[in-house]
Amino acid sequence: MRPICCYLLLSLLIVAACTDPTSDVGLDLLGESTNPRTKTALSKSFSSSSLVDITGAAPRVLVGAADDPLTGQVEASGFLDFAGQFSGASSDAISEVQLRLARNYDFGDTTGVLQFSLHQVLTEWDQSGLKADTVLTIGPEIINVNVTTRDTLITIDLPTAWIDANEDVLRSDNFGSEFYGFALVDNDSEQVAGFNSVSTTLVVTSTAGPTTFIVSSTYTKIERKTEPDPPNDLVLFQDGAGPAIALDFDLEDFSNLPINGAVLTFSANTVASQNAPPNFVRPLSRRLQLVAVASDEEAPAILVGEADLNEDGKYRFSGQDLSIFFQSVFFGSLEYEYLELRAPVINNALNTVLLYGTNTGDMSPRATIIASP
Amino acid sequence: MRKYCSCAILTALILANNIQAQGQDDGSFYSRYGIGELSSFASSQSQSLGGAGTALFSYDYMNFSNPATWSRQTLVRVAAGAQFNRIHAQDAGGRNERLIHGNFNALQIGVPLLSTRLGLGASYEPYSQINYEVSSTGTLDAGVEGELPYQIHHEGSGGLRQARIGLGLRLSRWASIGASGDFIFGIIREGRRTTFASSDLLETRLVRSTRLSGFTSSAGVALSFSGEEYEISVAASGSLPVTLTGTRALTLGESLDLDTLGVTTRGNVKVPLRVRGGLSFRYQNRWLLSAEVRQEPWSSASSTLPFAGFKPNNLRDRMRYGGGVEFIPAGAALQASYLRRVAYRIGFYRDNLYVSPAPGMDIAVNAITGGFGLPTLFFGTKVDITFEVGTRGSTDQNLIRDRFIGVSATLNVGERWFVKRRLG
Repeated sequence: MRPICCYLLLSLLIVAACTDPTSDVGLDLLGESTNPRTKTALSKSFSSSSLVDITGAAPRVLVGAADDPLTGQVEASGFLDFAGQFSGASSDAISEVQLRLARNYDFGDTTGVLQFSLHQVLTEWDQSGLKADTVLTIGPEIINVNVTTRDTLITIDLPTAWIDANEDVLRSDNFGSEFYGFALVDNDSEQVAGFNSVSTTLVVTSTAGPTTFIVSSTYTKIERKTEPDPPNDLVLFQDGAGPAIALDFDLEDFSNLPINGAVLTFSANTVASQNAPPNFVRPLSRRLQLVAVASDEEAPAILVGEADLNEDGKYRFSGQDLSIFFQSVFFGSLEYEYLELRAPVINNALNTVLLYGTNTGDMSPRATIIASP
Repeated sequence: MRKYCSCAILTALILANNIQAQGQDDGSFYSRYGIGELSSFASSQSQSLGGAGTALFSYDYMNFSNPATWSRQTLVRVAAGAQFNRIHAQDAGGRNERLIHGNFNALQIGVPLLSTRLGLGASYEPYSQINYEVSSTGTLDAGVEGELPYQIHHEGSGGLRQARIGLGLRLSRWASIGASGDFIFGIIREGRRTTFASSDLLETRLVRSTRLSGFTSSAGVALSFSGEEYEISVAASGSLPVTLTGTRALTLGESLDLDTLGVTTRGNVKVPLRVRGGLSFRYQNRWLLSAEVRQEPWSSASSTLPFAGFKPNNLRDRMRYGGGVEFIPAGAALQASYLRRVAYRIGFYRDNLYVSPAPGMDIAVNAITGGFGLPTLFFGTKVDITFEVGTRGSTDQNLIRDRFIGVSATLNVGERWFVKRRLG
């Protein structure tokens, strides 16, 4: 009898541990107090901030200057270093050196002149992390270039004197380490052009044929000459030259609140952003980054999210990373000094957008938090 | 036999914990309210008799509804069991659900310190159980984000446990008294997981854990009047009001990746007096009738920690009536056929929950109970199969009607310990 009893008890215990799927009976008793809800926080600050952009190692360099009635006067100089191996013999004479610049960006008066002088960079430089105010040592002007067309390929023939002076370097097996590149310095331009580093080449022609050197390093030095003058209630953002936008939200009510999501919305006045004189090109900033800047200046900013300008003229930041960031902030496990809108460090540009500031009603910057109470 | 007894205890404890860990999913939604669904397991015998155990003296079972009955012990006794419940729940919205869950009944130990005069009893058993899962869906109007569909999964688990130890003493041929110290402790967990269809949104899993403990005591008295073929017992027992103190923490996240939200709060729950009175009548060792009444004035209970329904209008004084009859065809004849030695039991009870989701409305529980006491080859050892079929609540006022079937099995092991061996 005992084994039967034991089996009986054991079977019941095992069955007792089994469970069914979830029930939905009792929903009427739950009420709505536990339903998720949205809470909106308006920005308590939203203003221009100075930001020196990182312009090194970008696939585009900017050259020229533009005097924009909205963004002010900006001047840009591009730096290109090359790498490669001369294909001829060390005794082959070099007959021609051409710098072929592939243009892929315009800003400013497209009917105006694009004029820059070509210089040789005299010291070695590291492109990574170079900021737009970095000064590199350059030599005397090699040639002045005046571009009057909007051709996508600009060819610059280097003078014979420069070829003769640099023939050994061009033919050297250590060209990459002995040659430090060219600087394209603005010379009273009325527009800014961007050159794609991937398609830009230095072509050295010798008796053995042409040798193509490709771009190995890039950097753009950007200098603001005059301050921007945005309309009232709008805050200017400009890539490259700045300003960026510093902002913060009033999040005190959200302390310890469990959240499902966060959506940050910034409204742009795209009409005002593109209101420019005839033939003046001022591309819109299509994508913005949101970063959290720590109080410790040495600490790197935390990338919180990226957003594209949508058809409604809004940048809407959302996604799990953003939600996790705000959840960490609400729990006190993450602190920051302020948030900042920046341009992605993908390419150099002077793209611009005017964003609605605080006290602009429905257009005000806002954070919509989806929370589980 | 002693080693089998130890194995049975060990196995019961392991399995009990296992069941508590696993079988916490689908019980009655009413367990969401207050400190959970109260449970009491006096003995498998009294459970079959509608829970009417206050005046139930037995040599075969430890009866934890009245410590005075512990005086009448001749064997060291260990009992452990588990229960399996199937609930058909229906709410006012017409939704139906079949739920299954299991739980550990109790582990009980009885030791006769002085045979039939002084006995020790100890037990570990559930005091209350929280055992529900409900999912709701909805859409959140997130303005320009549009309508965001979501699902909220509510779940409750855990509950309070009770550890008791005490003595029962026979004062005279007809009077017995008993008392026990009862330690109540446990954790009540209420969880809520909110998920959205959009992958951009995070899942939140909030768990509110309330850890409570408190000490109380129980006492009982029983009077027995017996003749040649009958015995009548009248008994009463009760437990003093207890203040359960504890802490509550709200956490967010999963397992080890938990964030505690805010500060841990301290508080207490005041549980009222529990009294019960009963009557039993035994005739020719064949027939046994037992009945009892329990009263618990829960309207006087209070809590500084918020629990669902723990409000004055929702707390209801609990009144429970139960009774049943046991029939053993063979009576005390050990040589009779097996089926004639089986105890056949049937009973009923009517109860009302101490807390109601609807203010001012009692949640009635009506059930028929029954079972069998199956003898084994070992003297003093029985296996009890118990069942109950009943209903709980109604669908009025958006409430839920549970129709439940419960089956439990309890192993009651009894053997003689502390017997001096005689040499020669």
